[in-house]
Amino acid sequence: MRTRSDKSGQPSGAVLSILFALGDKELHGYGIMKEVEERTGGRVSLLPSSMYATIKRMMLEGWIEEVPQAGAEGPGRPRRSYRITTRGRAMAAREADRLAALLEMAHANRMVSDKAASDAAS
Amino acid sequence: MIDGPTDSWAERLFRLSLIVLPRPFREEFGHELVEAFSAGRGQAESAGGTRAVCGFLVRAVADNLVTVWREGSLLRVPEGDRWRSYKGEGGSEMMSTLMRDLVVSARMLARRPVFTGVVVGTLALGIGANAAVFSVVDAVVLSALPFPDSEQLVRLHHSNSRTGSQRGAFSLLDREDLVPRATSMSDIAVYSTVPSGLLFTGGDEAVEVRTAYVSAGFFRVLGIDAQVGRVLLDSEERGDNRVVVLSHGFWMRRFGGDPSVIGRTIRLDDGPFLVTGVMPPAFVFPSEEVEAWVFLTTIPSQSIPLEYREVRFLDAVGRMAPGITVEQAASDLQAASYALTQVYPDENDGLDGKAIVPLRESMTSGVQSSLVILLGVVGLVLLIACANVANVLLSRGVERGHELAIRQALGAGRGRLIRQLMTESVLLSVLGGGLGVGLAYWGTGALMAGGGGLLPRSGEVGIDGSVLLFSLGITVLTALTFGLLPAMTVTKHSRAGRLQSAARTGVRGREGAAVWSVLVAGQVSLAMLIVISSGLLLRSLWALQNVDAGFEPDQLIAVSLTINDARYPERSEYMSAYGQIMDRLEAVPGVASVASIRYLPLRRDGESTSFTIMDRPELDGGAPRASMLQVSPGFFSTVGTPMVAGRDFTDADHGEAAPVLIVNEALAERYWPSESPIGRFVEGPGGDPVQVVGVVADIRQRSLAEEAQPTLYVPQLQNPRRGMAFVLQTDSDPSEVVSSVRSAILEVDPDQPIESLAVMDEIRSASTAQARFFSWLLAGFATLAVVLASFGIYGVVSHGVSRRTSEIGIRVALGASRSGVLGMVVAGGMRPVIAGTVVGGAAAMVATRLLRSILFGVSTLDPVTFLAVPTLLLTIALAACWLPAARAVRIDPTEALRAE
Repeated sequence: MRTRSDKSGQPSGAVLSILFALGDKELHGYGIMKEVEERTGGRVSLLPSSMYATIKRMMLEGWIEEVPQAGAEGPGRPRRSYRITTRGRAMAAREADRLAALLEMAHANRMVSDKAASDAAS
Repeated sequence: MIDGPTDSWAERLFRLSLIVLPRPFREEFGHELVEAFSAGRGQAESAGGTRAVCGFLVRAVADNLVTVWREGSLLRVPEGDRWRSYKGEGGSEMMSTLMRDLVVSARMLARRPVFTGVVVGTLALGIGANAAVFSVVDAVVLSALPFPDSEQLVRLHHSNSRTGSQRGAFSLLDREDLVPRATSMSDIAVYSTVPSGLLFTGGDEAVEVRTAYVSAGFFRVLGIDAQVGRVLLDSEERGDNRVVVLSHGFWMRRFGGDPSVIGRTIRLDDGPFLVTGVMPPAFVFPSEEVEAWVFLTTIPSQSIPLEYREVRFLDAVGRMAPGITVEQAASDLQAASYALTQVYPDENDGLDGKAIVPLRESMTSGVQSSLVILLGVVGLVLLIACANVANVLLSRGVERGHELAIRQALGAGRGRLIRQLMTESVLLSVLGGGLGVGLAYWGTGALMAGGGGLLPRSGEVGIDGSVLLFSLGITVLTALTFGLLPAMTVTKHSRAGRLQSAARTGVRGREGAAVWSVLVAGQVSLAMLIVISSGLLLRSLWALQNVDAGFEPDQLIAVSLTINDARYPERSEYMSAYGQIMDRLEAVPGVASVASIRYLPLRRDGESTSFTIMDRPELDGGAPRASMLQVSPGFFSTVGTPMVAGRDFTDADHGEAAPVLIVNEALAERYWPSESPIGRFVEGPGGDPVQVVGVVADIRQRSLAEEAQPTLYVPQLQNPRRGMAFVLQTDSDPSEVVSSVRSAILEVDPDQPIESLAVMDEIRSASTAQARFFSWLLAGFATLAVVLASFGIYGVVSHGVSRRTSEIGIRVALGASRSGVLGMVVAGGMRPVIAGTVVGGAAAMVATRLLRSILFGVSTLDPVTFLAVPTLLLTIALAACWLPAARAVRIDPTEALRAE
């Protein structure tokens, strides 16, 4: 799974998966992994290294940010959570529109299987 | 990183795999990565158990590698460091470090074609030799036999508590006794390729079909069905059913693969046989030569009386019931055998046990240890090759000291430099491995051409997936072995120190020299080990080839044949056929004398028989046993074996005359140790008294390596057999007479098949072929080891001299004598060589014990070998040191100092 945007400048699948998974929530790494896996019925899955590489890139791009921790509890490092930024939200909305348009086209040409459609509807 | 309470093996492996990620990324996310992995692992486990966890682990580890490959520079951005450093790498950001290292390495290697060629060639030889030998070991020893559930298949032998024999053959009735009693076995079958092939008379000319005679259950035990038609049915074993299953090869050769042959009747030995099926091409049991399988019960009773329980000449193969281990089967068969000795106290006397050996082991036992030793030796050769390459890389690393120092000064970390150097090593190794597999492909072909017929299962040898995987594995290991040490050594020093020393002489001294010495010593000790092993094997081969077999093979021709049952059913008829052949052979020009014997020397023992000594009926340990061979008068003088006492048989010892026999020295010494056996009477199984008339010197019947068994020789006329071998002594070169011998036999009966016709020298030489094959192969590898090691020594000493050019120049300028310089360089070079010789010699004293089972007539601590090999190696090493030392002596002090 390519984590950076491809040559056309569009964000990769991993970036979009993380953006869509976050939505309005604050999630830590494996929360994102689980969310993506569950919401896509296992069709999309992230693996630890490439996911955190993507997270790192998205933070550098300013699409997501780390949630400031209210003081560390217990030993070791507190678990880090991430949330979407305004810039990220705008990008996600733009991409969702673009994908919705593409999906509509796929529907029109009857290229979406019934199962996928009913899964998406439920 | 964390150590959670749920830290399973998968987490541990995953954490280990994180080492490939750049440190900044690991420090920033290591904890989270393991946590995320844990969660994913948990999910996989509940969904699909351990298998799913393995799959997830593999994907996660692969993802680590892919991520480094694609995002290398991103991952190196330190935590909290923002945009600037991330964008900082600009255009080169897309190219991962690994790719860059590869390109740099490839350029570096391309610029030095000689260096690259030498290293890649050395590695290719080492890896290729390993891959080739592994492909043989894999096919012959490691891989399962081509039968379903082949681990359930075992060979069975009678074990005899009285004689200590563990290799007793079965009779047909033994099988029928044992099958209902042995609950641990699904089934047992017996088979044999004796007496001989059947004569097929369907085509233009009569041909002998190599036949396996089998009992009911044979194909069921092996678990193989016919490819076309069906195999033999148990119900066809008795009665008048004469049925045959053909081999795929015979079916193709004789019938062009015509399926309508099934159900047709063909003529074998002038009798009709119904063809029921054709086996698949891969079915080659009991041997690759077999062309047809028929029931044992089709053997005419006058040839081999199968209705007697004591007529034991059959091999037995069994399939253990599912879940039964070899130990359980052994104890079950033990009990069954003991019970049978109670039921048949005479016929089964002493046969109170069974030796049981996994079929694979029994098929490969003869070569297994040789092959494993060979694999060990080529492994050592590869190690020597690695040491050589490490030497070369070390010298080059030292030459590149300046370049490395500058790169280090410009900010490259040590880890970065090591990675660059290791990339070069891996690239070299992969090139060597690729070439090596090519060599192995060719080498396996050459190995099989030389020794294919000498190895069981050789048809299965080839370069396949497992060989490729093995080659890949040793290629990676090789790169680590030869690459890591030089990489660590040449990057060891501080930047300042290196720049200074690099500026002065381009080298750093002492540590490098120490590593070199260890490498040289290691190489020499490994070479010692290999050459001593090979030396012992060659000495053993020499001993084997010079064994006195008890006969003079020069100018002898040997012909084996069996008179056709169907054409000459009565004894008088086939005896007269023999007489005619004998007369014709005597008339062949160039033949000085002709005689016959039941089995040729070096082939097999005669029929096993028991006898009693008439004036000494009671003997400890039951009746004496001996091997019995039928011979014609004049046999011993024809083959050049001296009579020790008494007389040879004459034409007067015919069927109506008083029965007589000749014993060999082994038998005379065992049963008449202090007196002459001549004139004594023994009682054979027939019960008639037979007089001993002569003692003859021992002839080795089984093989050159095995001493003669106690043997009784009886006159052929008093004990006729259908299958006999003729030996002919010729006046001149026997190979010139061979073709007229063949036509003489065919003149008597044009349909008479000849089982074998060869010069006796060739038979003797064939019996040592396997030992020769292994010995010379090992000697080849030993030579390779010595050549590699001496190149290594030469390279190191030579490099040492060029490093010390200025030092030597100064010494000479200060008045050191030439001989002093020579001595210094040679002594410096020889020191690690001597250390290696001592270590290698000591290791060989222990390691050569592994060779014991394949050595003949030579001790594992053979003093000749243990003295000659170090002498040889030290001499070669001295020469390797001398050449650079002589160059050092010629160093001109003014030139050397000017260079400084």
